[in-house]
Amino acid sequence: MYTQIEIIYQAIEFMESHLRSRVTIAQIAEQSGYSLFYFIRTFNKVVQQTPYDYLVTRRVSEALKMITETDRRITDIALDFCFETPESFSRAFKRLFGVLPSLCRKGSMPEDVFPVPPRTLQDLQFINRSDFALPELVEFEEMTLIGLSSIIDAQDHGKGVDQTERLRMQLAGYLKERKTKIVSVWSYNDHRKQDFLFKGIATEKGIEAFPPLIIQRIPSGKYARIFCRANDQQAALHYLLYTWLPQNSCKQKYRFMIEEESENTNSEMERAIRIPVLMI
Amino acid sequence: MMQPVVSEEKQITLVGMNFYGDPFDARAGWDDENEIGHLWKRFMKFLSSHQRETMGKPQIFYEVHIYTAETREIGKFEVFVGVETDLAQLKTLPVELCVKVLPETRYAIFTFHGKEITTDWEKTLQDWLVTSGYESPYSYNFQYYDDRFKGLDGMDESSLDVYVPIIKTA
Repeated sequence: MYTQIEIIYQAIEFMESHLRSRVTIAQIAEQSGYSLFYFIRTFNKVVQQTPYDYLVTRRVSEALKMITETDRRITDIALDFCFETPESFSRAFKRLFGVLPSLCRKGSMPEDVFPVPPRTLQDLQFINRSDFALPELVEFEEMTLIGLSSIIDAQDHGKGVDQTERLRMQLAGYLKERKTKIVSVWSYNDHRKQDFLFKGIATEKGIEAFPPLIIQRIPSGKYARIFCRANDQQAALHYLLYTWLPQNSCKQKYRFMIEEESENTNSEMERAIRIPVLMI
Repeated sequence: MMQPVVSEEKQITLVGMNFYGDPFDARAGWDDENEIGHLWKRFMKFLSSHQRETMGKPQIFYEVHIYTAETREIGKFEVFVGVETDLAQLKTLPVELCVKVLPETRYAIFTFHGKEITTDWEKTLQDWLVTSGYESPYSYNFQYYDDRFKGLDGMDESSLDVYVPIIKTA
């Protein structure tokens, strides 16, 4: 017996396997065993997006990858992903990314255009937890951190976890006060397939750092912050980037994410994730 | 399998307001914050301030879901909420309202109680149609709200009738 979340995730997998072939929302609903009406309602509830929006977003995102990675004509790519005309593709593309597809050719891609990845089962479980709380916009002051930095293989999650743990252990060796809260700063760039991870502790402004320690300055400004469990950071970041920001007319200002231990030690939501945002 | 009551042929004329799109875009729960909830709020507010010009104080309310080719394709459909009216008696119609004339047809009437109301009852209707010897000649159905429906907070004690237009399969 599958849960509602698992049934909707199976529908997502079905959609993912039909990004380049014609499929109607009714066919996807039939696949799930739900009536069309109930499927639309349940999909919206579980994914926080309409099924048709999800399908178009993913088609346009995969088309973006093809535009940047191949020399295939944009007109042909539009047809590959089931858009009836190049114009309807351009409109959907511009609505999602804010630029025309022709401006995203290899080497000339704007820095802030990133494909939206497929939703994972963990993404859905995260936003449907009973203690899920919506993000909030919070003003933060500038923060100076001292710590260590490393490149993380974003493609290999298991390896990334090991690298993260190793960096934490290395940093612990340099810390005099063991109970100090460690702040992680993830700088990510989907085009380079690598994350840069910095782990450090808050320090005074203007302090000197000797190798291998480095100073990291976190700018002041508006941040979108969400609380999550320790193993839900990725799902929390996905939610912020691909659901909450577009629904709240916000854009990410810089491509980094800050992860801190929550001040509420009684809660299972022990991590606070925040990203710098710009109101559009 | 749930067995419905089959009605005589009748035509129903409604006056009310509508919405077209995916009503669960913002919220999908059984609360009044999705577009269907907003539509009801808009309609009820209008009714309470325009009772004399319209239809007095109605006790029975309808929520009609109308599906088109676009519903199958992209998931958008029409939701109409309203009350019954007599077209012949309708001398004027406030510009905020519109009229929906449902065709003369028989209906299969399903009654759902308590928690059943929030389940996939459309599947129940579809499954019944397959073996019933009837088919649905029109792509709509409607929910019939009377005093047995106790509101979203009293769902456990509520009953709701759902009407599906039917004809005998040839």
